[in-house]
Amino acid sequence: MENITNIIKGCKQHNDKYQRIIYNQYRGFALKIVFRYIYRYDKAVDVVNDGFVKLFRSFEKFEPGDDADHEKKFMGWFKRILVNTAIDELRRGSMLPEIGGIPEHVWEIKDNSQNADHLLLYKDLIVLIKELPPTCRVVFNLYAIDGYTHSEIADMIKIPVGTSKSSLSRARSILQNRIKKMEEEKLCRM
Amino acid sequence: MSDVENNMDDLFRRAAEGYPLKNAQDDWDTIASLLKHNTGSAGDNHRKKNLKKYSILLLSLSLLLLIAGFIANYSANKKGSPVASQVESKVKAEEIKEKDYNDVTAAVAAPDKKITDKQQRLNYTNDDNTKQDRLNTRNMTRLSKKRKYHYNISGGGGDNIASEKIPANYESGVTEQMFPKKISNAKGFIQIHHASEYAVNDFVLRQSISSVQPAGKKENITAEKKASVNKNGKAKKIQGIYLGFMFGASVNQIKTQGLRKPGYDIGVIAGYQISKSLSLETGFMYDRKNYFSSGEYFDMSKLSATMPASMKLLSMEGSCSVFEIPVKIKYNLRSKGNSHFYSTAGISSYIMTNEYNKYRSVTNGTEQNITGKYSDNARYLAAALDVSLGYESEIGSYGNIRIEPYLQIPLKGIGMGSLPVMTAGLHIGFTRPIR
Repeated sequence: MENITNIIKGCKQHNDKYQRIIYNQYRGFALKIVFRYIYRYDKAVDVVNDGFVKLFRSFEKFEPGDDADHEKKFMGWFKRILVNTAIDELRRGSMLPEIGGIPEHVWEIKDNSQNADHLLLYKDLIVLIKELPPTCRVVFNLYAIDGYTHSEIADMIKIPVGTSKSSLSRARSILQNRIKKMEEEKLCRM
Repeated sequence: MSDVENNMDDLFRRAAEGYPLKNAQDDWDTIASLLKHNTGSAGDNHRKKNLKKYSILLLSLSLLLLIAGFIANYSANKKGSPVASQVESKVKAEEIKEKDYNDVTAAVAAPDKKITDKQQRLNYTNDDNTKQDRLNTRNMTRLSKKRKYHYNISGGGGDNIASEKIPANYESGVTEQMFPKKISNAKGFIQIHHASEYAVNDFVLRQSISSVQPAGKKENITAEKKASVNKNGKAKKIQGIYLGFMFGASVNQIKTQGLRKPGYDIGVIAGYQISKSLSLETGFMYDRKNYFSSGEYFDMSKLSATMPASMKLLSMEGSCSVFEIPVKIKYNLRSKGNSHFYSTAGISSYIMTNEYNKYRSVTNGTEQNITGKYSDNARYLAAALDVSLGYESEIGSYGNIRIEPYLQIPLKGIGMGSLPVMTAGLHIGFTRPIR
């Protein structure tokens, strides 16, 4: 296993061997981020590919710094690239909602896992996020999960700060209602 | 409240990190190629691929039609098209006729000379004529009968043939030479009888082969080209108008999002046969289209005034009735007997009479269903590109029946949402020439 420092150095020199290592290692991570923003799986895969292209093209700009935890810094930087790419894609589609269910084959739940219940819950929660209206979905993802501030969000998706705040509050209210419904349904089944 | 929000955010953060998403397939080649070419993105690449795919498909279709047309023309030239073979056989008939003129003329001029039946008979079989030649000759004789140009030789041995009426436009020099006023002996009668038969055929042949005669003759080439002789011996005019009706079933789709229940269309068609292979067609059809679309492709600009500002469209199911006016060029790719394989290409314009849409929308986080009925008679000029391949067959003297799978590629959006509705279907039609 190559050291992350060497891999980053290789990528800065546009060495495709190291680029490939990065791609294989962070493909899953990238898709998990993008899939929260982009409703359709196939489109999310395209956005991930775009993200990698942007990453490799702008690798010179990445400054690992002096600290030892290069990987964490790299992952933060890459996450920002992916989020921006996903937002660009959403804006290209005028932030319009998409329809149709999410096919079951995109999930990977191992039956014998002890965490199967957790995974199912996580899956349901992600579906709830994905079913939010696009602006609410983006604001909730950016603020509650990815840790951006309202002013950053306003800059990123070109909306007033107030709209960002109201979208977040709407998103939370929708999610709370749906979580309640989910729990009620579970109780009914029991 | 703040705790609840923090707990909820925390729960979602954990879900975002640990949710069980299947990893994407290795698509390194796409990334490598994009990096190598240093242009575009994966999404752009995907769109470009789609565009390329459709362009190639369209180009292949055009090329296929071109090749098919070329092959059809080539084979027609090689084997001889019906018109070409008729002209060819007429040329042969002309040669034979000239030869036999001389023989018969000689026989009339020298009555003592014995002319056997074998010599006098109009026997084309000894020549290298084809069956088509013989058929043409027979047809021409029949034609002459229908036109009452058949000559009956009156009375038994040695009667005159004064009752014969030679058409005014027949070449008098030849007629006089071959139809002496009175011939009394039996031998002469026999000779004249044959000669008269011959003259009849000669007349018909002269009528029919006028197309190969040089300019200055009584009937010119252009007039002959407009007509061909069919196997029943009737003159068949190629150019002309035809009328008919057509109906069919169709399926409609918007941006490959899937199909809904099929639609139908029915209407009248009219065409003008320009040449043997080419015709121009138009029509007036009533179409019923059913389709489905996600909100992404539905243009809300026409609806924004009547819908809540915060409404977001998720999807819609629509149906509409339109009057369709197609203008097409029809080209016969291959003809066999009375049947043709053909292709058509053209454009269609629509007049939308009514539209009924069911919308699924979200307003302030609440999902709701809305329906809309519209009847504004919107007109859409050149709204779709029509292409089709079909098979047409003559059904006796009644007309032609055709079966035609077709595709309508949208050139512009129709309806309230300006939706690009693609239609594929099958037409069955009947046409009858008006000549």
